[in-house]
Amino acid sequence: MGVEVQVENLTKSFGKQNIWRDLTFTLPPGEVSALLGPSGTGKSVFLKSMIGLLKPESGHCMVAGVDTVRCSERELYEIRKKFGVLFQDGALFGSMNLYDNVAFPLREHTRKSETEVRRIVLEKLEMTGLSGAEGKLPGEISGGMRKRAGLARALVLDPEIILVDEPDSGLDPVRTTYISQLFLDVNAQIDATFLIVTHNINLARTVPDNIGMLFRKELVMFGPRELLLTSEEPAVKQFLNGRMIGPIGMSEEKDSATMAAEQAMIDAGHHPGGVEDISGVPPQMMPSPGVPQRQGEVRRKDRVMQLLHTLPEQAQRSIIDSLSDEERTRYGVRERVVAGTGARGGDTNEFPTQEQGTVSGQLAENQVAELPTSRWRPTPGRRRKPRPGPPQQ
Amino acid sequence: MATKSEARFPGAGALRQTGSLFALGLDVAVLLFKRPFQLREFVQQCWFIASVTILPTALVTIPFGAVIALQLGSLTRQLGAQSFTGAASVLAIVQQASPLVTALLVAGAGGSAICADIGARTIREEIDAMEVLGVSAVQRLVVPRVLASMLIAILLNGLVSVVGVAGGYTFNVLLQHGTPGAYLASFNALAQMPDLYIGEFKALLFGFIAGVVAAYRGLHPPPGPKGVGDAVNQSVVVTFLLLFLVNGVLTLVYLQIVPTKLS
Repeated sequence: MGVEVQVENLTKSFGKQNIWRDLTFTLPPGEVSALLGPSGTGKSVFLKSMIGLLKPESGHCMVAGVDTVRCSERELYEIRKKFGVLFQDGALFGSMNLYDNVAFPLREHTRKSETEVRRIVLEKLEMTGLSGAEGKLPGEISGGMRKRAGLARALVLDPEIILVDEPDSGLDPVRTTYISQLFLDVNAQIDATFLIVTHNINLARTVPDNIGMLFRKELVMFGPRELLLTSEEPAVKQFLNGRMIGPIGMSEEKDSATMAAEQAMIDAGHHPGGVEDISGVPPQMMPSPGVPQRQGEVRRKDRVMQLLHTLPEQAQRSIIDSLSDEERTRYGVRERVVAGTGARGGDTNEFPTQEQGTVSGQLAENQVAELPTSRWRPTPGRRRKPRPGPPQQ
Repeated sequence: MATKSEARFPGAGALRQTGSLFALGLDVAVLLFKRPFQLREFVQQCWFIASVTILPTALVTIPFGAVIALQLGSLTRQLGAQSFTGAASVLAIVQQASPLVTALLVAGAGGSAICADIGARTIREEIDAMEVLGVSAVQRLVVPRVLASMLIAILLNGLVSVVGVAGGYTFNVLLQHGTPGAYLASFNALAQMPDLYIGEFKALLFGFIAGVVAAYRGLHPPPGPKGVGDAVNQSVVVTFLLLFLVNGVLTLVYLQIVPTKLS
């Protein structure tokens, strides 16, 4: 199982310039999390801080019982063997060909024979669609191939936690989807914890289990995907829709004068950017057929149901809607929803619930999450409209 | 919770850099003994440094030996001490000139290449990637390079001594009509074995300094591709300055400890 990462009050500055402060959140083990944020909010800096390449001034980052912010050099090298990191342009070693690049961690950290190394390396290269390119030097291949080779190298030691810095930069939308699919398949196979740093909204909406967003030097929110995707927070909504209207400006922040001027421009008919209204929670991507079920997804469901009462109403509604009938029984939602479901005339499947029929194992009696007595009550009227309305701005 | 705050006073930056440089030197010294030793990298680097330094070193050394021979030759002729030309030129070349020439060439040709190589890897995040894979870049990349520049410096020092002395001989005998026998016979009139030892020791130390400074600047280049160029430039300049400083200190200590032969 992947490891849990606990980030507490992490603060980082370069000289006098503060990058972010007081980041506190937990990456649940074996789940796929994404960190969003406008350019220049220190997302990459955060990744580098997690693996100890940069030292934040204060705070902790606990990975498998080791604080990567304060631990000794030796502990750091040990803990890093649990990490697989995909850098923005792959960060391949320019003097080695792809084969040697991917074999590098194996040769350094394991005593595997060269035949075994060869087997593993070719397997990972095939997985990332690079068969036949193993003799090429990084300088001779395209950016997308470099990225995939970097991923192959990151995966070769079967890491417990995988950090991905902008998987989509330099890739076309199709390859981005393929690489996202690969992440989910890998997650299902080795149950590693993923943290993906990205700007890509499609990826952010369909891949991760949990989403966080950095803005104005702080973590705006971090939680289950439904939390951020249904959020009414202006910065989050603006970011998801890619519009000019909102608190995010060309430079880090906007003042009210700029905002007013822009609003006037929009009122006068100027296009605010963005293609369509992006809201609601689209179905999550699934591992490919034949790949085992993601254990992280099962654990996540239990976890989310346990903290359901702490989530805002819209997120709750979206989560409940995404449950299959079996899951409703399991979490004890059925009785309360029965009336509502009947009244809705079976529109439960407005979102195809990908989890349908995937939960197999029965949890022990005491582990079953109870739907907490929350503010949420299924009122038929409300449930007619599972998608949140158009952005209210 | 302890919040690290950087001390601010004039010269703090310079002190910090010096400290980091020494820290890297210490790391290299410690990791020298850590297994597995990167033999392949070491051999490649030795070959590389040797291949870029041998010819320039020899070419620089011939005029060096010649100049010493010519200068000394005219002086000793006026004093009537022509037979000591050989003695003086050997002393000058073996003890002083050859370690310095070696070091300048190792720093200028080898060090700049090391610095550019590591600097380019740093800005392309290769060093980060290596660290993240749990491999120490210092052990993997810096140690073999520093060792290689030390070894090559020692070997080059021998070459330079021979070429320098031979150049001096040629000019003294052919151009100044000195006596070959006298030149050769006076070889050990002033020079002694410790001169050779100190020469080799200096070469070893200079090789170490050149390697460490180059690696240090390469690992911490100013941002951007131009930063790497600046880093290479700085590494060569810093190495030269350090070399002359260290050479001065070593020579003074040496002269205090080892009595000169004629006194």
